[in-house]
Amino acid sequence: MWSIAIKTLRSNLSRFVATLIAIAVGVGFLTAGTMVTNSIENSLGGEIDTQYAAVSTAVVLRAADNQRGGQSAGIPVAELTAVEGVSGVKAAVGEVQGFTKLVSDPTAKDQEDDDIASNRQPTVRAWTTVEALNPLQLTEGRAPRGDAEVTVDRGFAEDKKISLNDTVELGTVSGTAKAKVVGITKFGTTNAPDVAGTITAAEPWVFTLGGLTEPAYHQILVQGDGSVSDGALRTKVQAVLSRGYKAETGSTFREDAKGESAAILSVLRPVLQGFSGLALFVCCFVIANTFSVVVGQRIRELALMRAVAATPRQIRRSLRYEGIGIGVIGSVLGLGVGVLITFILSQVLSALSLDLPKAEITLTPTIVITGLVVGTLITFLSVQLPAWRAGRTAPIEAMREATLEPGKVNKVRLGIALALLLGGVGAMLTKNGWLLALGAFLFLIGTFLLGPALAYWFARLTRPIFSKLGMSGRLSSDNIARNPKRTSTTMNALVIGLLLVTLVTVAGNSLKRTTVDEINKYSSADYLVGARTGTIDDALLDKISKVDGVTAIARLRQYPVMTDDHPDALTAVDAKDLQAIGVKTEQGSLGKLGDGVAVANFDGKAKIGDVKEYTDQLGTKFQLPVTAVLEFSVDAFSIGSVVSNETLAKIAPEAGETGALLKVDNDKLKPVGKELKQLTAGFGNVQVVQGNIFGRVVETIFNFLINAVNGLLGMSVVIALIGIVNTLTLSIFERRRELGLLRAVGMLSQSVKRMIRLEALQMSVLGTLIGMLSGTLLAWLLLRASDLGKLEIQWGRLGILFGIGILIGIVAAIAPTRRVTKLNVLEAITVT
Amino acid sequence: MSYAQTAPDQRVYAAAVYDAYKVYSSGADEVRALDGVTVGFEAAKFTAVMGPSGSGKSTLMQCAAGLDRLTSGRTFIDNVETTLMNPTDLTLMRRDKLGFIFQAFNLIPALTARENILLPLTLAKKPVDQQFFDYVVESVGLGNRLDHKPSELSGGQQQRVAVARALVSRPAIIFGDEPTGNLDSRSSAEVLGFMRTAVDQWRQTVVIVTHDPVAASHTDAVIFMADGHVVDYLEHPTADALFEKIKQMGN
Repeated sequence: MWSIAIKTLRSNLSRFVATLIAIAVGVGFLTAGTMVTNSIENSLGGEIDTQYAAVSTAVVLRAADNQRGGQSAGIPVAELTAVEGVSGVKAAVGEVQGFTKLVSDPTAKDQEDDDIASNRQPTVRAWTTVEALNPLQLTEGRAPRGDAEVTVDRGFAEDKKISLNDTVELGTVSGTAKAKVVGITKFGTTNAPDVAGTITAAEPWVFTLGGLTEPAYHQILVQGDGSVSDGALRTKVQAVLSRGYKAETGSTFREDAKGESAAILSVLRPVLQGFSGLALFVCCFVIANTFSVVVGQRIRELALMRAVAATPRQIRRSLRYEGIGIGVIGSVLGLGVGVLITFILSQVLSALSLDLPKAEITLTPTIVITGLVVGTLITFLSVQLPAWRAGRTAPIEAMREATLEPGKVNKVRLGIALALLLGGVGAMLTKNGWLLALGAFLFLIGTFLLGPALAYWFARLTRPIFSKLGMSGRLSSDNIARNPKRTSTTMNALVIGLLLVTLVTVAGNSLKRTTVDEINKYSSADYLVGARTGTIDDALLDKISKVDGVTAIARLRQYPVMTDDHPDALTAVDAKDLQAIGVKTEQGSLGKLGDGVAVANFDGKAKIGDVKEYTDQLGTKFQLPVTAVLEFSVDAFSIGSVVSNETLAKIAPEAGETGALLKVDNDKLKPVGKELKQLTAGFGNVQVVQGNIFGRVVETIFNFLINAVNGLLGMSVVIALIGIVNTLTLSIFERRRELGLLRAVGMLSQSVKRMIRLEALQMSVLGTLIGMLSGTLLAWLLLRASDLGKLEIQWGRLGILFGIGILIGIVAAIAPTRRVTKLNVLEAITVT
Repeated sequence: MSYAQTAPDQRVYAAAVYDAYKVYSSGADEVRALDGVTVGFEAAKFTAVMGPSGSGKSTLMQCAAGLDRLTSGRTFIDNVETTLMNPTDLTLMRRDKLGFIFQAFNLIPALTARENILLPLTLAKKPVDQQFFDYVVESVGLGNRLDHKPSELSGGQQQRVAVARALVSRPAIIFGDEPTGNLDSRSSAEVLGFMRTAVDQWRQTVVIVTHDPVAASHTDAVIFMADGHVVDYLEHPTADALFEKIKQMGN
């Protein structure tokens, strides 16, 4: 049967184009989704677990962020010495994190626009001499020793066209310095742990390079000797630390290090997987449908094979082999499509100056094998039903002209359909993952099995109405009822198309809303302008607020304080401006702070009525009641504790403007950045930092996916259209004698055409209704089970979909009705 | 005007073709289905066209009935020239003046027997002469099957419905293309009997194409065709005379 399958494929390849496209797109999405997620996961800290595996305890600053209130701090070298003395410590190293700038940048011209923020500047780290605690691996060269020797990471070297033993010029605390590149590093499977690249140097020169005025560590990593547990070691290390520093167990440290990225991934991963799943799901139907049409067109050929004594089993097997063949070809194409989608995605992101974090996007063997297996498997499975149907082809159909089927509803079929529908809904109500998938499957099969009965009932319903349009109208209803199975087959493509579009429109929109809410927590102002020390010139902020493209600015007056042993700042800011930036209040109102303070809800426990104690730089302690709670966000975090102007004036009368948060038009991110850079050029203590980009990355990916899936569905609608045209044409071919007879006894050609059009119209109305109703029901059930969002029915959109469905029916009737005109009355009535 | 005459005569013809050619060309090959045929079908008579397969007998009937166009020549129905009528006018003409009975597939599956019989009148939006309808239905013996769909009727019953349909609108001519081809001899005889009745009692014209001598023996005249030509003509045929003729032609 293989040889027949292959020959059929070869001679009918054009017929399978729709099937091939469907498989390729499905596999493409799966591949691209996996590749992008892996890449983001790796670059956002997926490597942390492996690269920091040996860390038993870590010493960190007590605040989660040492940049709070614009003030930076570090862990003095003395603390490292103290930690090294603790029993149970095998080794301890201090990690340095500073920033530098590549002065001798051969690609500087291209980069100039972007190079305004610290997250665009390479991170400087100290070369860790303890192998187990060193997160970096050398790919070339050796470790840096002494002054003026550095290593750079693989990605940075590639981007900046640096090779081993080159001399580079770097910015340091005391002007630029020349350094020799002695090694190239990587971070596990990715290039670097830092977004803009990693440069290492040996102590103590690394402090100079990293812009640190005095030797201090960002964190201390401790490897235990195995004599005590991580928890016990943490307690012992904590005991020797000075106030303000905190020891964490290795696992806590790793979790914190993953921090934000883990949260983003927890949103992104299920969404990407969900979309891949949906794409494959769409493909299953498209494949099954196109295959059914192909089988329908070949019914005579199949019957002839049956007549020359091929068994039904052989017929089925032959079609299954065809399915596998097509599946393999389509999957291979799909891998290419996947790479293409990934490429387009990264192009879209970089066009918005939102580079995917630096990590290799690789087509791993696992992804290739998964794509091939899944693609072939879904094709094989999708072919089962058409194959089964083909196997039932009777030999007589090779000779038969037209089959007369009684226009009745098969009661057994109806019973099975209803049982499947109820069972499917029941299974989906359980919320259990597998039962949910099974339920959705049963529900769909039930919908299709119910099709003929619905077609029959619908035609009974429309008959009196359409009869008013004369014989052609009446006959159109009768024809639909006469062979409800054929009607249902014709409608199926439309039902599937509309079902899926409705499903994605309803569920996708609800999902998007939920996800965007989630993402908003991690998004922030587009630019942060801040003073490293002291205050910012009012006039400068005035100028910045007038830059074209700046849509909102919240000007901050901050007074550095300590609270709960970590640095904080009391901030006075205009309530409306802050809201414009996107900071939301959870409890209370920013406008009505009174004598109190608004704090961000980091731990979910903050509430109005709490009392916060603050210590200012002079050691004065004072207490403020909490009168508002801000929703957790990156911005809320960087602002600190918000107080009214009056309160700040009482505590720190001399506090001036220290910074501002800016919201910028999406299209003007780059020009605004450039202008900010120029405006602040003369102010040594002012830095401009680009806001958190991850929120934007996630949102961009999400929007891309929704558009991509809508594109995919658009394709399935086109395929539905092709399917309807095909089945309608086939049905007219089958009925050509009947139509010829009508013409012979005096029905005008335009009346026959009108009849066909009315049939198509009825089928499209019914198909659209079934598709939309079942799609909405399915969306509701799936959303209900996944707890991912609430059902939102947008009547406007559904109305448009309904219009599209009917339009498809009308358009689909154009070609077949043309055939009616060409219909030769004689040919129709002559027995051949 | 019989097959041999080209000058006008005293008879009245319900349908006629003059100097009819019908040429099918496929590539270099040319098939002359009608090769210069002039023939008339006399009004209020029952005429059969006989001949071997490929003799052009079906083509003659189809062209005469306006179902197909001649390559050259002229066609008349009820003394109205139909040669150059447009498709819509032809359809309207068929509706008004012609009835058809085919060998198979005579009925619209979606309609009941009654609706099928009334279809030409419904399409033409003509009133139904209920008395005549009852009379016809009774004559063909369909009284209790009128509300059944074609799929619920036997082959003979279906053909009676087709006959009733052809009769009920009182067309000028009823054309039958092998109307008894699919029937057993008893049903066949009955159907031919109805056609005979239509001619004798209602003065309708019936033209059938057949190769069954028994069927042809019910007619008033038989036209013989071979290779696109009219080759013979027989009035008041008997089955024996027809068998004899066919034997001759075979030689």
